[in-house]
Amino acid sequence: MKREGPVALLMISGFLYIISVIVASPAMEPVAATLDDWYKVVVGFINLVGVISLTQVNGRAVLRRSEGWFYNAILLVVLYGYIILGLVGGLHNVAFNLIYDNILTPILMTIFSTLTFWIGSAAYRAFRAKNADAAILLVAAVVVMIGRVTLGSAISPAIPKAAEWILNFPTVAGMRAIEMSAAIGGIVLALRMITGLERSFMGFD
Amino acid sequence: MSNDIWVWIGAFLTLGTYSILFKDNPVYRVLEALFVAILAGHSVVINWYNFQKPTLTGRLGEGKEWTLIIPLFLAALMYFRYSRKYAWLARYPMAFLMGIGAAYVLTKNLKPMFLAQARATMLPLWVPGNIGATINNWIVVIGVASVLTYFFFTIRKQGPVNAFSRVGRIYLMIAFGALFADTVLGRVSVTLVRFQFLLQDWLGLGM
Repeated sequence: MKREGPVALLMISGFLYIISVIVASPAMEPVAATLDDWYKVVVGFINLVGVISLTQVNGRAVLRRSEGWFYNAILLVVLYGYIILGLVGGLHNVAFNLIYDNILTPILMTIFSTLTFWIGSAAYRAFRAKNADAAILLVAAVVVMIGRVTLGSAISPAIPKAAEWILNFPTVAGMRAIEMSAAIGGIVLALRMITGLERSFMGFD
Repeated sequence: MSNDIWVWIGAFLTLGTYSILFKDNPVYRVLEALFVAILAGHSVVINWYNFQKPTLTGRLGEGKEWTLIIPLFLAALMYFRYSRKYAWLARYPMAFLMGIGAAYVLTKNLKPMFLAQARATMLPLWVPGNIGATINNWIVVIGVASVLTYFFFTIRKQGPVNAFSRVGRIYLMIAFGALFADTVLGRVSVTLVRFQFLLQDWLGLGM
């Protein structure tokens, strides 16, 4: 029950889904739709796992008075306060939406924008043209960066055209091959999982 | 300067979040805690109203779709992961999700992610009267083939295969450089919006 049961469930649900999609029969159509629906129900009802984990990790830090426990306590108070506010007041509650729009959104956007500065330091490391590969990466990045802003066309009309060409041809070729390779990898992994060969995601060796 | 209290709060939150660029500090850590808490709380509330409540009260309660008890039972098993003795029960919902996920990949992903991409690469290698299109088509076809060769690990790459795979590496460097540049530009746009908020909406400069 502990090992074979989950693997059997995986194989049965997987093969049933495949058969119901491949076999073009009106009798099999509802099977795929039902499994799709069940999948959404399971996913929809396990989102509290994240909240429980947050509570465990932060609650433990507060109880043990670990370093910075005060921040963990703030997190827990705000988390449960906000959940209660939303569940009691409903989705159209003014305070619930004000907090989202005026507190979460500015922090979210600023965190997103701080990545500009981290990317800047990453670029410094990546773009030091130590070898031919790094030099190619540097040239492509600089051309695309300058070509996509007004500075590029101010320097030369050829720069935006070069940027477009890099994005439309060599980049498309590279990304297309990456996507095809990822597709093959995904299919192989899915086959291994559905045949019970790949079990590591369930904690098995 | 703005008279709106929410603009002042937004400015404080923006500057407080930017303070991490200098060094870790208590203001940033409080904002970090707020961010995680509100984001997680919001997802719980949205999920309850948009999904869990309609499923429990509508479909199961009024619609009497009794078969929903099966996925609900599976979802409930996930919470056994917090029990040392019965943590293995949480493998069942995970196995179900992985089974359907793997089957979905096998039945639905092959066409758009592999066949459609392969078909799009089948370009004419001679376009009459258009040398530019001919060269570009060659560049795409050689690029896809060489990058695929680069990712081919079944045999040891030697001689011409190795040389062709080196061409693929050059394509990858160009693609990564271009994508990196695109990402940088996207982030810079967001940064400009934040600075615009601080300078115009908050301080009232350049109005």
